[in-house]
Amino acid sequence: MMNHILLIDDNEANRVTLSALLETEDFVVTQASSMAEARGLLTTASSFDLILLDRHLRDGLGVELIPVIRSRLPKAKIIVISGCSSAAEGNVAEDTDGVFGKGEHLDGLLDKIHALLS
Amino acid sequence: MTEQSRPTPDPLATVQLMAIADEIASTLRHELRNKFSSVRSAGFYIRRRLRGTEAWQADPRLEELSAIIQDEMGLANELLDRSGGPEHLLTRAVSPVDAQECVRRAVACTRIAGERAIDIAIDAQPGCIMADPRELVLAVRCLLENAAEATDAPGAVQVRAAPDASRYVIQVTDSGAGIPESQREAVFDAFHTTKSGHFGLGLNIARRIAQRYDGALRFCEASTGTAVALHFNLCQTELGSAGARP
Repeated sequence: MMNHILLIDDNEANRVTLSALLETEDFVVTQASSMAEARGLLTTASSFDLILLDRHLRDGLGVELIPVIRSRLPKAKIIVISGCSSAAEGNVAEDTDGVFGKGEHLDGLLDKIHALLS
Repeated sequence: MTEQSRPTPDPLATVQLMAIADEIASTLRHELRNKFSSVRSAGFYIRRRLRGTEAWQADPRLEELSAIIQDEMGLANELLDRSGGPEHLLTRAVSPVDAQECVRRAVACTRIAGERAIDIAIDAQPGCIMADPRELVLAVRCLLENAAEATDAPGAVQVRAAPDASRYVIQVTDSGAGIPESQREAVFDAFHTTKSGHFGLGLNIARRIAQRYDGALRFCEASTGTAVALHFNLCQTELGSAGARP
């Protein structure tokens, strides 16, 4: 069964490129462009196995969704996408399963996702 | 110019200039990072799809150019990280702050453009927040000035500030035409303004200050006009004399 990823990012180009990449890795990807859209999907949509969450969204801090995700989908993994070059500089202390810096190599992101969903 | 006619200096001039610079620099960094990231992801995708194909093997420059995209975008991101921002220009003095006093100070130094007849009604209860008081005053003033701009003269703006469970909430309500639900996200876009001569950064500055202190800026339900509220965590620390006043 294919794993289902919810990609939450307010930048359309990022969503298009990351979705394309994840789909070639045989993931099903659903996109959300805002906190509001993500909240709606988390309330109504079927289960997600992993959430890729941009830290800064137009309508708020993406990390504010973490308690909602943990409550609604306790088994789902969460990777926060930080704007910094590396995860270490992202300084994300929240309850996450991983942090990916936008400057990091994308092989690293795919490895993290595969490891979490294996 | 005589002593009497000299305009009163703005007590928040420096902190406001720093906040504007911070907002512009942060917005540019965020936008550039997004663009670098999407270019890098697109290059990475193309590389994965083409690798092993005849075209890829026939032209070694494809490998080289693909590596350049990845490396250059990575270096550009590092450059952004190293560039930092204007934050270091403002030495923050974070301490337990008397939020009620900060709200009063914000009302006192709010500037109504064109000296229009806009009253500010204040109802502020005691509460303690961990913040730099100058930034808290600035955040509230940004909301008040934004609300005043949206209100026709003569009119009124209301600010209510009080503890609510573990939070301290500062709500500013105008009596303007209101903002349709569909346009609410857009008002948080940096440089979004419908008024000439404005940066369109007031709400962004208020939101960034709130977020800096683990708070938030949100729209609220309002029967008329628009209501926005700053939410901060109440702190249990006793107010000290150094940090109590802005």
